[in-house]
Amino acid sequence: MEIRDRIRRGEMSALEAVDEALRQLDVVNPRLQAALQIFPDGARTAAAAIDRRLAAGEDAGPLAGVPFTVKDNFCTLEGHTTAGSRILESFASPYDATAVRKLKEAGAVCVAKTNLDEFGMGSSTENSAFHVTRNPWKTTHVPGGSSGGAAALAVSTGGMIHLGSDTGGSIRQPSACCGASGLKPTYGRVSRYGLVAFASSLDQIGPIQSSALDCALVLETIAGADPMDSTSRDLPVPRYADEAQQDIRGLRLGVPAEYFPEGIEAEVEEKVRAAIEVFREMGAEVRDVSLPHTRYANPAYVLVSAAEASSNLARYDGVHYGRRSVSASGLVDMYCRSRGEGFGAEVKRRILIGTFVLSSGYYDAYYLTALRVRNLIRQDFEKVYREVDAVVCPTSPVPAFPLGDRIDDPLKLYAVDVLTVPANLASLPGMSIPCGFTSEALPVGLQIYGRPMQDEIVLRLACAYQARTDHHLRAPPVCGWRGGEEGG
Amino acid sequence: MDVTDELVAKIARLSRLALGEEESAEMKEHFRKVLGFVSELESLDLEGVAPSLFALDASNVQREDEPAPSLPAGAALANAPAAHPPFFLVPRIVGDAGEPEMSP
Amino acid sequence: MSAAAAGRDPLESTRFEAVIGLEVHVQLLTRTKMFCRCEARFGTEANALTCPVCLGLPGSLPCINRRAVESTVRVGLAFGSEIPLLTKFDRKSYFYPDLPKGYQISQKDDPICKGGRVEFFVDGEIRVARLVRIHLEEDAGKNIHVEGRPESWVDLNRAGTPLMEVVSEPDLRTPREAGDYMRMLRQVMLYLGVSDCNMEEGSLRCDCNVSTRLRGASHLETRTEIKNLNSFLNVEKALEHEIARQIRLRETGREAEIVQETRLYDPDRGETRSMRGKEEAHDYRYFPEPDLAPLVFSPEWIDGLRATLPELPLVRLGRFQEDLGLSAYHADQLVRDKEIADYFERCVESYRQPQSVGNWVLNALREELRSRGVGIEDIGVAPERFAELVRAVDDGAVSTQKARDVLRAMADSGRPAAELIREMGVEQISDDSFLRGVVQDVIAAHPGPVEDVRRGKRNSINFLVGQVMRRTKGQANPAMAMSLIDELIGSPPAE
Repeated sequence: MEIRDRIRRGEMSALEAVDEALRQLDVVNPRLQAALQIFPDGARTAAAAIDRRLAAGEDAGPLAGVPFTVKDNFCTLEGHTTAGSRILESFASPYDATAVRKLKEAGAVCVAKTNLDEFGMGSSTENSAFHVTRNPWKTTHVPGGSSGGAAALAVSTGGMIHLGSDTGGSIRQPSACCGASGLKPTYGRVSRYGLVAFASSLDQIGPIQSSALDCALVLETIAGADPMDSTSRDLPVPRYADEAQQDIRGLRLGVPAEYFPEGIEAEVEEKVRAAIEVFREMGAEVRDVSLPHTRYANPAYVLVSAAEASSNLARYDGVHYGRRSVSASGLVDMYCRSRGEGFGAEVKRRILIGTFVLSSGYYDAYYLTALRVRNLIRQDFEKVYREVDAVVCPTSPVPAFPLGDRIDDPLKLYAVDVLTVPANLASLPGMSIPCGFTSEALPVGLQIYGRPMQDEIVLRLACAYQARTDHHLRAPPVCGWRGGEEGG
Repeated sequence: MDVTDELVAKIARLSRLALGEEESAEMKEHFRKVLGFVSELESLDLEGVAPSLFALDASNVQREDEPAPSLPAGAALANAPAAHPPFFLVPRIVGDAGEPEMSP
Repeated sequence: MSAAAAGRDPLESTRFEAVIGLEVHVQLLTRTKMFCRCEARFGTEANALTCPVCLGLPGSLPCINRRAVESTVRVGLAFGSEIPLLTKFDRKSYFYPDLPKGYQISQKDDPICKGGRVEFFVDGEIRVARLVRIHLEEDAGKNIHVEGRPESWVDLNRAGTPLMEVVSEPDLRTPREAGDYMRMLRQVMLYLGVSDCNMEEGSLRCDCNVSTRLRGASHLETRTEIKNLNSFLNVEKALEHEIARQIRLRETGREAEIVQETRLYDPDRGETRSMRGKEEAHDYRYFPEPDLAPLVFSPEWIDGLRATLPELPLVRLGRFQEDLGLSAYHADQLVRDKEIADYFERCVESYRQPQSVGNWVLNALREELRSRGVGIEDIGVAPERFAELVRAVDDGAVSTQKARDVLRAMADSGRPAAELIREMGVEQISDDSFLRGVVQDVIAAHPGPVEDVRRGKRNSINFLVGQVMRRTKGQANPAMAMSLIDELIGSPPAE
């Protein structure tokens, strides 16, 4: 992370770094609408405090002065925490999410909160209650989602850390769409405390950067057990940045036939297969594997995630915080109207489906069935991981699509998650890195799956690939820092 | 299965979601589509496959019974849409029979 | 007048019997709430004991309070429940303002304790009620309905405090049994120290399921549920009224009007009332709580907790009768309160006269506690010192009456009995030769009454004893004085 090293060496102050980040946001955000909130005053104050500590010779932390953004479903003391929803439009969190706190304790400075599909539900960021975000490579196209704001900024700005969250692909799919490097760590690797829950057994926090090595650095800071999250694992945190730079020779990679399904775009398949060849050239051992239940993953995901979401979103009832309808008469009417007015269409769809699958008479047929299928997906991976160290495949069967193209047909939108949801169902680490561009100059994502708690193997493969290729270095037309065509 | 208006209305009520007429129709259609989409799972033989109830193998995560400070005074109500400090305020809770409703 | 209104067993002299099962909610005594580290206590400003977790704020997550789990396991062990090695939490969903997350974290399929049995006394006879389960959950907050206002108030201080639910099989047959069952639950909780069982603060709350059927039948009829009863008396009264109502309906051929429903008990009007109308069918949509890993216990860990169990009330009751020779009544009175029973045992260790010690503990000591409004731990009289006082009474060193004054002084000053008896000048004179001299003087001075006594007028002896007391400033041992008078006058012995 160049910016970190420059501040450390005294070539740049924290305030200069933050000012540069704010300048870049000023350039790109009007075009991309990637940030929901920017905190120039708070960020400059925090940076000045870091500079004072540095000037006094204090240790201001390993990420001293590095600006960061978080998706707006992270609770922050700064601004509001909206989760992209009207229902939380004016909610001010009295606490920081653990991942945010860890970044701040490491000396990083919160500069902005990024756009997302409402509560993380979507794959295009078009479900944000506030505005759509545009793809920096082609502003008529979606950035992917739900961490679309973070992914768009990761490639169009420089010198910042971006955190996203991933429930069914929400870090990896927008990373693929925007040509960013995004890691969904193993479930339990990063505390979820303070992440506005969508589906608790699937949600995980991770970085979206312009390089895999930066992802490793960020993971090193945010990973680890948290007494506030009972599902965070109490396992040692490796030095991911060092681990990521180890040799990949001899690693065994599985290529599952099921991950090149019918309907995959030819250019996507072509770029991914070419990337796999690069691994082979670098000394990895590549072999075909089978994950036979892959096609059942998405239906199971739709049921499990909706069920948990219906429960997790029950708290938004207009009683203790959040939006309350003014036109209600009586308590039950107040609930129904507050929620009816506060939630967007896709969120309502998922709440209804989730309520249905948990309701009396349908639980076994839908919810339990989905959990059995979840087990099959896990078993698929357990078997494959006896033979290989990682799985490589496309992140999404399609590159970024035009705004409005899929939003009217929820199932068409769900379909783009088909290759990312298995990592969430099986609690595995998964990463997307750019591996080429389509003829329309849209990025294509290569996905790497690892064994549980072997995030460093995933990062190592990604770093090795990026050491050999330059897709991740290409600047999009809308760019705040690398002299892109329209940016400056 | 047959997705009826009644089913959608019942689930919406259970979810405490007010739906307009058009929205209800759209939701009914969505139910139909999603149930069609997931019907693929019916073809699987799941005999003897245990449901994955938890995302982790971990167990026994517990904490000691040691207090930590609560939020500072007033913070609980800071986001309240309506308050009568130090209380949250809600429309009067009255059941149809004229009785104060009880927590179920 | 209905049987219930007359306060009698509503089942007496009918062809029917009642089938009763109780769900008792016990607030556990922990320092912190069930899933967050806010203090679990009462008496502070509303909503002051809250944090992101118990307010249900976005992003917050629960963490299990180890002590609450241990307390529940200990209760299960006390009642002989099975403690499965795997237990988990589930979400129970419903919307209510006192439930900030829109779901309660509870336990459905895998409670901490399965089965078990509660033994208790009804009129001196032992009864048994089997348990279905004991599980752990979080309590809700409080909704406050202010008369004449268009809104309700919500206080979440109680939200998230640990609540244990003890569910019995429908093994109880009368309101009295239900009350005594609940009294035993309370006693055991107090013995285990897992709850203060403070009824006024709602630490013990009960839902009653009750149905009625022809005596001797084995099937179960439609049951009603009476919710949220918070005293033994209310449990018994509510059941009496509800049973009487059901029997009235059966006797008049209207049993179809007994429907499965929730009813409220109105103590002022002496009736239970249907809550029909408000209730849509509840569908709680239970599913495993994904934010909490399951709990997996080892048999060694469970055995370790078993070793912490104190002697339970019924066992102690038997021991007090058999080993210490106490009457059933005294033994029962003593074991009711663990602190009292412990104190009693320590007294007996230093003065092995269980019956007189028991008497003194139950009467003088308890009265002193009542008048001071303190618990036994705060009275400031060590059991060894209390035993010395009882011994002094038994030895005739102080009168029963004066001993009460001495006890008060002991509690005030913390000083030993012997010292105070001397200092207060309340030593009882039991010295035979000294008293003999006094009695001789009295006999010489009052020939008339002496003559009366000789003729069998027993009333006059009281006058003579009074004279002895007067001459000794009340310190003479009155029993000794009387027998000396009889002896010296040569009167016929008292009948």
